[in-house]
Amino acid sequence: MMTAMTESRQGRFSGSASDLELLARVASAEPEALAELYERYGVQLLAYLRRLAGGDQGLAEEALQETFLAVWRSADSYQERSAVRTWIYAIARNQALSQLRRHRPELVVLEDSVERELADSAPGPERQALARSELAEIGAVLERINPVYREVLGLVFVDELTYPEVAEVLDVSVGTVKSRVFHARAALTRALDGRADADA
Amino acid sequence: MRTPEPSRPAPSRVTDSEDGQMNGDDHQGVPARLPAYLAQTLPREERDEVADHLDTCARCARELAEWNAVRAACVADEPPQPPATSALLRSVMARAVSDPLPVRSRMTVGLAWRLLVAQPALARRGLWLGSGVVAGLVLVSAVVDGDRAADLLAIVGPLLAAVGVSFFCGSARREDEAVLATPVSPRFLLLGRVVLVLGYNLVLSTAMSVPLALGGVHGLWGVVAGWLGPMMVLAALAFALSVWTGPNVAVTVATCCWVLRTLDRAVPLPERVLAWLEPVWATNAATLGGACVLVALALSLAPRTPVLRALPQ
Repeated sequence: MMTAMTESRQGRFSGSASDLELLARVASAEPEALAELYERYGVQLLAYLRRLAGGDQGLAEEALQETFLAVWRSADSYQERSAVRTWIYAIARNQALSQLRRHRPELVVLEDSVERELADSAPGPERQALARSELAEIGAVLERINPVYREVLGLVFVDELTYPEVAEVLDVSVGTVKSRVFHARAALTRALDGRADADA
Repeated sequence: MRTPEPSRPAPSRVTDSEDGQMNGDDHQGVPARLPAYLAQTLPREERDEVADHLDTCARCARELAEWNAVRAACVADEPPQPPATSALLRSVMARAVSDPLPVRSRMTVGLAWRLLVAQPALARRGLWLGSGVVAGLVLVSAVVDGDRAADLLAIVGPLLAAVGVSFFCGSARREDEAVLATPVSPRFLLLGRVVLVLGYNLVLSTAMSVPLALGGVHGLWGVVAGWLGPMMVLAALAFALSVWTGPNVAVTVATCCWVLRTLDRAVPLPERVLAWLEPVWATNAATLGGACVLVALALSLAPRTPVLRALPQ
């Protein structure tokens, strides 16, 4: 199994330094290594941060800058408990939440409330098949479901992180990740049903 | 970015599930793995296993189509990825190079003090109340029989201290408001917390020992010696385990150790076993020093700076 960790150690990009090597060079205060990490992950992190920030480009860029500053400052404390990419994602998430609490507190969802929501809402019969819905229609309801669900779907499908990696980024168990993924789909279905009922 | 899994054709050998019945055994856990299968993040063997199952199961194939729709919406929902701007990079590098000092060096005495005094409020109220209530019970039992009350204190005091240390220090391993909100080393928080909880229990037990010594025959040191050594050893063990593994394991192991210790008082054990056990729980320089060494070892192995969840701001 090629885990993210081993991938990271062997180098995700053939012919170039592995993430681990780059981080070690960052820990030795080499700005060029930080620049290379930025080139490697900056774009996808910015996309992730934009999703977290509700599309606010300015806020996402600010969080991205803080993320790489934090990477620079804490590279020597990296203990290989997770892959470098996962570690940076977790840093980015913390920075984004920190920025959001300051500037857009309405976008910060307490994760406890999601767990309560999960407990309260057993998935019901799925009336409208997602597969038969228009892409734009699903995209529209995606914007309306709980941001915690949107985040986990994004990490799985857009960022293509494994469940254990998502669990590390979100600091929850793998079971919770699986549960959120399935409840996210149920939430999408419910939202689509709601639209269908409203249209009828 | 990997390309999405192409739509799969309908299963060629449908053997079950057309009735919509989902049975975990029949589906080999495939439904739970479909999102990862679609994202191509499953290990190769699992991917093959899911693919084989999809060839024969219409229900899972339909589920895959549903997930495919969700995935397509997620990817389509993604805003166009902006290029990494050199201006942003320059800004990061400018701040990184001009401000290379690690944040942890900014800890000041004032900040350390404020963090320490803020800690008690972060603990569950039951942690403080539990020890207080037990102290009250010991006092009440002292009215009936001072010597039995001293025994009660020697049995309950160490366990309460160990449980308190486990939960309060174990919680500092994870994301913690104090860790998140300040550029502080977890080692400092752990040290502060173990000193607070252990100090609280030491003061409380000492305060209980005074009236027990006055009303009994052991004298003050006799009463204190009954609980001091065991409390330090058990709390140090609980602290080390809570730092390395978490509060639940720490509480479980400490409780088991203490139950065995209590049993060895009630059940006659062979001399050879007692010769090994007794020195461990004695109140003397060796056990107190050993407890301090264990705490120092646990602290030295804790991260200097927060990992993953808690970051310098």
